[in-house]
Amino acid sequence: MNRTVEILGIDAGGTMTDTILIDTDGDMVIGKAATTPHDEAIGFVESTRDALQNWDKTLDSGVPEIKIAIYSGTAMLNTLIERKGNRVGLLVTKGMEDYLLMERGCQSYLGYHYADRLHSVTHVSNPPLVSKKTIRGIGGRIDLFGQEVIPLYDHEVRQAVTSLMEDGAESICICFVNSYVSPMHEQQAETIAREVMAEMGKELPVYTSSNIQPVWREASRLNCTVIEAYAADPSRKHLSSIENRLREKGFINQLQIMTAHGGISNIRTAQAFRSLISGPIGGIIGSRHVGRHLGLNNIICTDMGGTSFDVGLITDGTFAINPEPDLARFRLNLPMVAVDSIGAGTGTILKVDPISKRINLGPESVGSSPGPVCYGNQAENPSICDCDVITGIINPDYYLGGAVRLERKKAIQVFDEKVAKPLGLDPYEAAAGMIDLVESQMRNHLYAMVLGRGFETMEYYLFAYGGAGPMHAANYCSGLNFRGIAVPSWAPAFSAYGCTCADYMHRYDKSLLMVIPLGADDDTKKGIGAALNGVLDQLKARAMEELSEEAFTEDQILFQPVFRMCYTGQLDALEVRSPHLTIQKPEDIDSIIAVFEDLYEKVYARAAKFSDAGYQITEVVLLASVETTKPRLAEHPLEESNPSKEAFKGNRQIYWQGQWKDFGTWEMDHILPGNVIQGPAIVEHPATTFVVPKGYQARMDAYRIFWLEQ
Amino acid sequence: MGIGWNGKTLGQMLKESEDLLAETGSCYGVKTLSLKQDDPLKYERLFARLRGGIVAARETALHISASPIVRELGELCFVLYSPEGDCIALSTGIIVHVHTMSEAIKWMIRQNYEEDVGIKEGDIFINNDALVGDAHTADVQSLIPVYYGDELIAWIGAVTHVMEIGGVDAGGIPMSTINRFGDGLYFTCEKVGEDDRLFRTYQIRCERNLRGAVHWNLDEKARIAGCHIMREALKGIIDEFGVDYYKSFTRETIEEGRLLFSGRVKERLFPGRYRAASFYDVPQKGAPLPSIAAKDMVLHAPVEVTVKPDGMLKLGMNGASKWTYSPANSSLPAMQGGLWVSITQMLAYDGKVNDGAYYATEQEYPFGSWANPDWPYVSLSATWGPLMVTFNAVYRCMSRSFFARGYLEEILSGYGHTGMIQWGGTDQYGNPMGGINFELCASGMGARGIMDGLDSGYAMWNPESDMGNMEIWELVFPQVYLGRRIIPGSGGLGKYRGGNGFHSVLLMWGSNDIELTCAGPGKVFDNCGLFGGYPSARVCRRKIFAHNTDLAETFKEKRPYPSFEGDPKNSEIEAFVKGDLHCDDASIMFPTPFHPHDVFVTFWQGGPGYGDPIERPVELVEKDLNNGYALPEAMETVLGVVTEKDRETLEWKVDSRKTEDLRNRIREQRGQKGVPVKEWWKTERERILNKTLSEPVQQMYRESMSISQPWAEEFRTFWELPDDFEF
Repeated sequence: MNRTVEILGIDAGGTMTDTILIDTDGDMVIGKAATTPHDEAIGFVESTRDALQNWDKTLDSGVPEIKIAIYSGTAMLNTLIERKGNRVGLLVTKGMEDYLLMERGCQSYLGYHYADRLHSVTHVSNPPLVSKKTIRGIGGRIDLFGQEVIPLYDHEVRQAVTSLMEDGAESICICFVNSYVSPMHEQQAETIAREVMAEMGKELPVYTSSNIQPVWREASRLNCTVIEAYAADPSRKHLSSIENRLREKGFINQLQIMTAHGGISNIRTAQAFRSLISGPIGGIIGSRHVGRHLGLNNIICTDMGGTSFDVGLITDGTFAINPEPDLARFRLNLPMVAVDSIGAGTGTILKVDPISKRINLGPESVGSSPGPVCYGNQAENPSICDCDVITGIINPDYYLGGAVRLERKKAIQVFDEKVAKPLGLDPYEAAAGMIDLVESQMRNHLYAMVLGRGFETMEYYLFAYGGAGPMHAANYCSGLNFRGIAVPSWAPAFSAYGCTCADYMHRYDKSLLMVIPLGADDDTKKGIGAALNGVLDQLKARAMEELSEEAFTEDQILFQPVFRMCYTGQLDALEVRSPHLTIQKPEDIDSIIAVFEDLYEKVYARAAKFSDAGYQITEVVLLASVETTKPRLAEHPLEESNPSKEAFKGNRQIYWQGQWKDFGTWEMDHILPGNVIQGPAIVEHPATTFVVPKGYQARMDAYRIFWLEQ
Repeated sequence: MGIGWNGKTLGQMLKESEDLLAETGSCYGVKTLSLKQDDPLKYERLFARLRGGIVAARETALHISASPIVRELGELCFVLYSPEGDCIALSTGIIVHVHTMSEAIKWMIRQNYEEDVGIKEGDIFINNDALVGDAHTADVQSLIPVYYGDELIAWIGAVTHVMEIGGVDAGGIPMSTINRFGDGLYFTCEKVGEDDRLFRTYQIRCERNLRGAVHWNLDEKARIAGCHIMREALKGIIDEFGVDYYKSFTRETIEEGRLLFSGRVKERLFPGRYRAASFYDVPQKGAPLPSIAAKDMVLHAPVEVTVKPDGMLKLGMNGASKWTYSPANSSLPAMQGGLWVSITQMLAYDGKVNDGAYYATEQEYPFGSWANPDWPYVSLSATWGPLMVTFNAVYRCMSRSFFARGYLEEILSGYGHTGMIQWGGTDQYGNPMGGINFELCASGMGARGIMDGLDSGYAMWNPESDMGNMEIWELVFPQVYLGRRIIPGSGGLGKYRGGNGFHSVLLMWGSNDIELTCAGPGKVFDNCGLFGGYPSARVCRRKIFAHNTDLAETFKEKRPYPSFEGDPKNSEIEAFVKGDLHCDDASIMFPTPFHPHDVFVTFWQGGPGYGDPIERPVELVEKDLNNGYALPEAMETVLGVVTEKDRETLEWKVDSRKTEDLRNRIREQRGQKGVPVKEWWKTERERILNKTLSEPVQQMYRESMSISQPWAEEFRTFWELPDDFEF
């Protein structure tokens, strides 16, 4: 078949690097290779080669056809975790010199599971990104209203920058208290720093927190600014090397990356820290894209991979933003598409306490090395993947299309010894029980995500993807009454796919304190509107400046103002998408309040409403996006409901609900739109296994999406 | 027909459960964990569902609050209870309250609320009475009953630490109060709402009697919304598992919690009696208080932890002194809460964290003592003062027992006392103000058995320590931070040192009407250090402030200003601030007015040390000096480590040879300085016989001996005193 590759999406995850290629007709193909953390470019090239192979193309023939390449990886995160970033010279408000050592007190248990959060003797502090030796406190203070309390001690800035440069700093990073209200002191310090550099004849990058992320909570803002100074450069170099590999093979455009807030951006973007996390975001963007195509507004996105089960919510076509997530044991004010994860994946380690006989499911994962017991790499502890092999769900001879032969006997032996015998159970019964337990945890997580936010599962469609999503979806959704359960046939590379569905989008955040008193009169509202417009104008000017540097023109850019709002006095705000581009009249404020009230009631329940307190806007956000070429969801003619004979691979015995049962086995690539697979069945793909239990059927629609129906 | 299970009243259910525990020794008389044995997977699944639901309720609700104490620091906890008030599952947060709310529910049952007050679906109860079931007045609880059909199937409780309680001083912890009537608003298990809505009259009372009622309002909304989220989740879970299974499960899971806890005690602790003493001083002499209260007092907190071979853990406090006319008293529920928060961090952190652990413990607090007052009007505003010193002694006892079993990695030698500073007057927006700066929730952790304690990262009453952001505290109070820094040398030295505490230097700003109150550790030691480790810095200038300063001029002229105290011998405060400087080591500062450009320095304490200081690895000394964690002089005098600052790199280096020599010399000196115990005993005995102890200390022992005869006898026997000896 003569086809032209148009879009390349890559997601370098913890274990595997997934590739998705999309041609001009919207057809897709998947490639996989092991992630190579020391040099992600190697895994990237291998995974691309693997995908192209499926379309009988080589890197030399396929890459020149690619117009858009979008990457999502962990290079920046790895730079942080391995502490291999730049030498940063840090200027902070005098009195904040110990901030990176003190870690706000709370970073010592970030990333811990429930038991260790309680077990305080396990809490440990993290090595700081910047040594105390290259941190300088600078006199000067701005108060919460933006007024100067203490002038900037400019002589201290001068001395500090000089000595830091002499000490070999590779960049200067500046973070002062309350610079989110007034950047004056940071700007003054930057000017002095540049003067010093000119005098010393050496120019270094200067990062100010008011430029990077002018949002309140200085501990998180300092983290963001330092991370940008510490890891942006090494990460850009890394991304450039990936881009160069593509260029060598004839790619002529620029590589783009996925950002935490759900847009894509050029790898040369000014704010690299926004791409610190992107993998789990891709799936949510992909779900929204498919949902739009199918007319679905409310979607629960579930991604089950080797290490975690990630859940995101799309409500009324939009996703929630977490303004202050924890990543790599840092608390950051990095707005991120809200993804809630639990340590439940196929790699989740299973243990039984020898004294209490209590079952421990993870949250640790076996990772890719040594991997599950069935990999044959002498893993000590069995994992969920072993249970999937023991019960017959995973075909040991067709893992990654047969590239990896799994050792089922070994898995049974170790699992029996470590788990089944201590529980006094038969290994098959125990393995099925473990799967049941992990699925139950996932169901619990889903339930809390939806009901905890005041929504009903009946209002939502569920999308299941990731390598293991299709395998466990039927059970983790059981009893939750979703409107529909969708399993895209490209589920194993859905996150990579999602990256290709995002708009090019920059996000600009600016904290402020804007009170809308209860019963505010029209003049007050006009004043508030004017002030908000003023901030929006500033953000717009900045967006225009950056986007025009990236060769976009104003008519291409779509602006969406967003206000973070709460009741007066509250410290947490909800993200309210403004129905107005600018605020023209007092009623515009009323309509923004109405959106807020509606959202608040949905999220926190009616009892928590407090309109009597009046309202407060704590942050103005501007989303500046440019529409991109996205994958077309190819529509295929519907065939008859019976799949073709060549799709059937015979029956397989699977231990299911306490007994061995025959499951019909099918090859996913041979299932055609319109075909319906009746459970009990297994639909196999080199990169995933889709389980259709008894009482269910899987119907493939015109877009090659399976609908799991009862 | 009662509202409990199978037509019983809650009173009948409570009595039945207590009788069964007494008769059989197991919770509800559960003999075997049959549900777990029959289908361990289903059993675990239900527990995970319940705990997941309660954790999710907390995560959602904390975003509603306006108080940085809740939103920034997570001082919020949700708990699921049985109809009798036994905890089944809990969220993270201030888990000290898991059992205090349990006591509140049981109190309502014993008061026959079922008939006299009525307990219906949609009712909202509130409690902050520590004599009934709370830790102190500032911890406010919401309790809601949950019905399944006609039966009360469960209670859900939520607690937040509020900013302000409407007491005689502004803030949540009034210090000028000497009895209940100055503590602030009390709600003793009061019904304040029906049909999921608060009574308007109750809301008006709160609005009219609290400074800054917006914090109160939103804290309450957060608690109630979280309870409602959990209530709906619970009903869904019961639908799924069946009500009979749920009921049996709750019985079994609490009994399993008891068994697991006993098992853990047997595994980790070595049987025996472990003893330690702690003290808390209350300096009220000269304070503007009635004469009955205006005197210096010391509270005695002798602790005996007994680890029994069958896994029962007992905490006894024979010899505790009498309650006082001061805010520093405790109550049974508060003491039980203190024990709860300690054992869940040390022993019962995984598995079934619930009231089963509580039933595997015994407690004995002498009636009439400060830990179990016999006067119903006693003040319970600052219970945490004596409570924290008590549990520092408990930590030492537990750590010795871990050591005896060989669990070095479990040892935690204690913690820094968290103290507090609270604000009153008018805020920067012109509104009445009352509130606590809860950055205190990040003191130093005591040294561990295998490593140093965490710096500025521990609060014993909340394992999720946090100091919050300066920018957020500046939004709430009329202050500008001049600095927030580690206090070098504040952690107790030892082979492993205690975590350091931190200073905040606060410039008063934006209001002419500011009143500060503070409280904290006083002149006596409570975190003594373990196995030769030093106590944390204590009397070292605990409270510093300055009125009428020259800072406005200083700033204008861009002269140096202080961002912390630094080395007390070369204090930055003294060096850079001219004005009426005040410095003392008293544990309480009664409400004191402040004005713009005045300065107040907070002192959040470090933790105690572990092991012999001269065994401290020298590479840790270098790291400490280079990070500003330690004072160079103490490295030599206490640790026996000789260091030198490199002139070029400005980094500290240890001179290994000189260090070895010095450490040998110290060992020799110790041999020369030591006296036989018998000699030391004789000298001390003379002091007792001659009654040369200070009056507050004599009064303390007088009370201990009068309240507790066994303790008095033991005291006389140990010191070989006459049978009729009294102070």
